Amino acid sequence: MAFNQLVQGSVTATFGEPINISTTIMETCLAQTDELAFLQNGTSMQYMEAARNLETAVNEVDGWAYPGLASTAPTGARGRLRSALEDVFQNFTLSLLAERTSSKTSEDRSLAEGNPC
Amino acid sequence: MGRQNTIYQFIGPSHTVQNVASAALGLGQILPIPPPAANASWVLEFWGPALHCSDVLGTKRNAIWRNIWNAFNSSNPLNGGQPTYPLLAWVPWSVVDQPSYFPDENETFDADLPFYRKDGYPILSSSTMALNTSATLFLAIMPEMLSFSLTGIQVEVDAPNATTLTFCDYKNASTVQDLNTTLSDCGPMPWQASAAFQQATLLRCDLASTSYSAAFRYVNGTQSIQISTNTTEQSPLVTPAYTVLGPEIPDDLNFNHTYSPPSIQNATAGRPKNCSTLLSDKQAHENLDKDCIFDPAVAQLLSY
Repeated sequence: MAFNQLVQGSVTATFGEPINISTTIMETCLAQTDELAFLQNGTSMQYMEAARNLETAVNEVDGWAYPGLASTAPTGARGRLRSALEDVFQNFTLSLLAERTSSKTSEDRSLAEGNPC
Repeated sequence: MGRQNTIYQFIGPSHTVQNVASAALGLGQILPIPPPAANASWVLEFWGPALHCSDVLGTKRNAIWRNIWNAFNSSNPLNGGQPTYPLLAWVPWSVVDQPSYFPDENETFDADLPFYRKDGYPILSSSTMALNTSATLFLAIMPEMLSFSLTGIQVEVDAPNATTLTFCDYKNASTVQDLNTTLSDCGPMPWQASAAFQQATLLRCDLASTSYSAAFRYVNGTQSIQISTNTTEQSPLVTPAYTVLGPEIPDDLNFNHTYSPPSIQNATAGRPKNCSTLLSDKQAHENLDKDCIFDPAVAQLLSY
């Protein structure tokens, strides 16, 4: 249910208005999957033409490795949504172990390998 | 003195679990799990839930497209515009919601469909958990809907006979074939409703009880986890429990502590034997007199 609360909801588009995002899925790494990449700009089509997204423009100029604050992974760089959903749920399940052991102090740890989406 | 049974109801994930979900999905990685030593490795085998996703095909796919189209078509353009739906993610309607919502004509109630009507308007299922059925999540991604939000109104504006700002009469679709009917009377460009679903993705994800094997390896504190799941046999689907029975609270304690925390019964002597299984939903109601309890910590541990 915790997973569902993050994923479910809607993105609606009405002419002349910015896209209305009523889901937190776009705040997760799933937003960078192939299928959801078209929503990354957060604007409807006429807005994309009228007001270019600065982040996108920066990436186009300097490539996604641009080291500035606006650097982001290119949209659609995280694979297919279907497998990403399965993988992030698996990561969530394993991550519950982190919470159960979080009372222990731990420093100088790096994150797990493998980034599903 | 008899004992009173208690029905415990799942009201949602704890903040802790929600935080873990937010962090894991935001990061796209397993969160750091503190190892017992900087250099350590072990294998953990356990049963846990796993998400299995597949494309929705056939009649169910057609029914969902038709349902989404009709929801779009019936939304009121005077009430904040006529939105299209580039993305929908929903859980099947829960049984408790169904009496308040109604299907369209030519449509029977199918809990899997995203929209039903209330007071004439399409409402997206707001269920957060399937009850008494398998835990399922649907996702529909319809990129063409985004461009359609633009072209749709252009068609309307250019409609040769339009004298007022009304939207094209797209017609509700009673069959999937209707989606392919060419709409030539509402603008200069012939258009089919099915165009809204071109290049669309429709996924159904079910939660299945799965055998996990997780190999943890830490080198100088750097975490590496290799996970394998048993996919060689059909994993049973998880059916969420909305309510579970017990633990029983003795009458005397119940009298003084109407809303006693579950731990209160632990201090009571003569507690009944433990149940061998958690009794959920219908089972619980049918076994109110069953003289056993479960450990509340178990239920808490299993809540997800």
